[in-house]
Amino acid sequence: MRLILRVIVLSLCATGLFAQVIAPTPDAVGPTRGDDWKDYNVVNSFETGYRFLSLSGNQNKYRSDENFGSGIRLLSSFMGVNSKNGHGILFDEFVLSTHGLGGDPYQSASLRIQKNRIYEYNLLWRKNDYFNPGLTTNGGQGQHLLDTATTLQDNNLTLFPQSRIKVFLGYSRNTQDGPGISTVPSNSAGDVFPVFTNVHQIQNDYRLGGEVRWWGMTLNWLHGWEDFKDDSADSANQFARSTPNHGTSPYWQVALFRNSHWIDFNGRFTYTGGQRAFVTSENSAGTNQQIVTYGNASRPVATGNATVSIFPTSKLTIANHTSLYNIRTDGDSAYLQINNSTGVINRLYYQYLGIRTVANDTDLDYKIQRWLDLNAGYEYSDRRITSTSQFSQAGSPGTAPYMQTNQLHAGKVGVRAQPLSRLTITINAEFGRASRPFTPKSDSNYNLLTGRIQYKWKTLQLAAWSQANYNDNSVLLSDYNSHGRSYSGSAAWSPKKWFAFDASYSKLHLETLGGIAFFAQNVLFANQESYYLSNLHTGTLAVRFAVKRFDVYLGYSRVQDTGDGRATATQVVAGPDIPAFRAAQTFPLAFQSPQARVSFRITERLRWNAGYQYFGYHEDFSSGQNYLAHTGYTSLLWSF
Amino acid sequence: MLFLSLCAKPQKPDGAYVGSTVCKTCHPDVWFRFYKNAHFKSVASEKEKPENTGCEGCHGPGEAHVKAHGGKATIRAFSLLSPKETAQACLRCHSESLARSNIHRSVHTLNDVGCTQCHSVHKAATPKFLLAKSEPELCYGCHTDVRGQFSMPFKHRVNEGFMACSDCHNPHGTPSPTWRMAARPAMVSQGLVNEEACLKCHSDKRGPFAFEHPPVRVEGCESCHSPHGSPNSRLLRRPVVFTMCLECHNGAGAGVFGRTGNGVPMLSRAHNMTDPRYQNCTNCHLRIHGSNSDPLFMR
Repeated sequence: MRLILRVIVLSLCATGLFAQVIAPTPDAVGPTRGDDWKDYNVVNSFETGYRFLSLSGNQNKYRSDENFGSGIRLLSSFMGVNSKNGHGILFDEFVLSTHGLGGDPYQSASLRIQKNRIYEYNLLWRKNDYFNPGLTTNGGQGQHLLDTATTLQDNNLTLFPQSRIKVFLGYSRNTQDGPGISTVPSNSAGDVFPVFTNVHQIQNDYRLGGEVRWWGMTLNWLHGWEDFKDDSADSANQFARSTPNHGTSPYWQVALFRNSHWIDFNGRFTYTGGQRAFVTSENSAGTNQQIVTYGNASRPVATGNATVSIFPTSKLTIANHTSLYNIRTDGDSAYLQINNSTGVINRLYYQYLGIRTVANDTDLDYKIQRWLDLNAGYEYSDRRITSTSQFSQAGSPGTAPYMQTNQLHAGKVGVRAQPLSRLTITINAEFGRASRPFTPKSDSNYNLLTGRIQYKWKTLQLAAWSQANYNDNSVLLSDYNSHGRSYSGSAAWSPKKWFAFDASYSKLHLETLGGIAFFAQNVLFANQESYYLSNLHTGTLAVRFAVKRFDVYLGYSRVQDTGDGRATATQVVAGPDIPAFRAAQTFPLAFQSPQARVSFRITERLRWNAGYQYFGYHEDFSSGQNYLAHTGYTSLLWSF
Repeated sequence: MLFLSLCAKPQKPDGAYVGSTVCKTCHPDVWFRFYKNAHFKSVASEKEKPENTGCEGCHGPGEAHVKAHGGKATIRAFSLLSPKETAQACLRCHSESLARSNIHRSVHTLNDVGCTQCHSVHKAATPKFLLAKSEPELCYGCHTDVRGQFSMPFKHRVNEGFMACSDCHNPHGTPSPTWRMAARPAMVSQGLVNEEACLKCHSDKRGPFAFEHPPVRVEGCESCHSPHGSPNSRLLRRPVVFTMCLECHNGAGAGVFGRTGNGVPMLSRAHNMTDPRYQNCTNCHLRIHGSNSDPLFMR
């Protein structure tokens, strides 16, 4: 019995071998237990304990990266109730799990209740305490203070889930509240000063849908209403601004699809009618200026998709997908800016942005031999962008709509071979050419080459992956070249029931060169180059072993950007000879996190756990954001 | 095409069915816990046809298997099936879902990733979706590079358990995205039925705004952000904001770039880039995703 339990413990623990946070402890004995109660089987577990934190260095940066604090927590809990005969009175399955309740920055709870043939209800609730430091560095981070809590919940109810006629009901809510820093222009030159803002946003989403199956076809439809309110307000001495922004986005989706032995078809149509009504009222005594904006924004989005998959032979699959989408951002607004000293009045009008894209792609998959598979594809997109971007001042009309089109042709080819039963090799390539990129760094002339090798033998799993992603644009001054090369490998091995090992390494080499132009002290620096080079190494290591009643886990992860190898931040390598630009060309840093956890089985149903995790963040050229954090926990996991 | 698909007959396996109670004679370990399996619904309903319920619903008729006293050759053994054959077997029932209606153009399918490589019907690690391992470890098994991305200082909280890969991705394939040039990415699910997945949670960036930052709508959030993780704050693609902005806002590309084809506007002369105040672009242009009251996104 103990051996079986140990096997189960380790096999379940292995699923969480690469957990990057030390707690909660993986529920080592959860799903295998259970007590019978009437016609139900009940499984339950709670892990309660205390987290601690000791921090030195930049607290704000730590809060932004990790944010784990001290205090008592319900680190995790699980409750599962299953009907043993599938004929429960109120439900056949009840699963409730929670994570990090009681003060962790990442809290969640999920609930699933279902009764066979009658209903299925799923709830996911999440709360994230988000912190972003404000203006803390001199490295040009461009951040704003935010200390907000985001709460999300999704409720989905399906009635008659196994019948030919289903009904879907859904409700989602997303709120964000908390303080932040905003800014306000203080003069006509564009200088700003910070003002406090109180972020308050609510989104409610209501859904009603259904599904009908008839003659092998499925008709699925959904109608939803998304309500959004942003009542954030800024305030400071002799300054007040309110910017309420409310709106509704009703949306529809209708899909019809059918699968058969040699042909599948599915079609889908969606429409979203985004609406927002907004007002901005700003009074600034310092600049002797009033601003009033009001209007209605509209962004209807319509899409259509059709996919046909044909299987002429058992070895060949041909899938063709056609999509059309049309987005129009339009509305009416008036912007009135009154300078009380000069009497000058400016008016601004709405900008129109329309995007229409037609895309078609075809994929072929042919199995030459049982061990050899080829696939190829071709994609074509035609996009038309229409806009009026001129915001006119009083007396001058807006520009006429401007229209541009661009096309993308992309080809794909791939091969998958299994020369040995345990060895799989996959190679994919994609080549794309876009006639008119929207921005200098948009995908225009790109090549993507990916290779993957996987080897599995008993409990040993080896994997290696490599990708080269090049985007070479060259248009006038704006030469933009981005060369990204990624390599990664992993090894997982669990030769014994009481031992498991896992390791991974990846490297991203990113090198971009972009043409830039800017002013410095009223002097134009044209035809300059912005050069950025990153060599980002990431490694993870995890070992788990069991000794008698102890289950021990040791882990380590390290992220290191070695940059371009320079010794000082402002060393001249390439690009503008301005210290700020040189310092922005590379950003060497190291972020590491060793961790250790021990779990001791007191009884079959009670475990004591303790863990320690260290977070160390270090920038090579600036110490302003560095921090060292020691975190840990001790807990009891009770399960039955 | 719809007509042709209507004319095609659904696939029906041949053979005689013996019922699940016969199977449990030799496979009690599977049957003992099967009531916790989502497929038990078909057994509990007691109304399904033999080919749609219990063990034989997936493994096919069991008569020959019983007569031969077992053996993988006498029944549909998934360990012997190719990924495509496995998919065909599962999709016989599971194709009746909108979420899987694009599975034949999924990158997973094209690369011969079969259902049982991610799902484990009898030894599932998760009661929901019967995954072979829980997310994200399941995905990390192949996507080894992504594992590193979620270990960055700035990341979406996937390793922390706050999010899952499937919050943003549909591993069974999706329709073409409504951003970028509609070809890629192929497995990012859409929020509000036709929007970028990011807007499911970051609803304040949705708009519509009187003044949109065009790349957000045209190219999508990935123009500036690395969605999995980044060493840079706010998941930005560059450690310092102004270099990222200047890569587009260089005033060049007349006749090519930008919403009016006259290039992406260059910074004004008032911006002295040697002054740290002007190096933090989003300090002033704080409504960079869109604004209702300022075409320069400053309020």
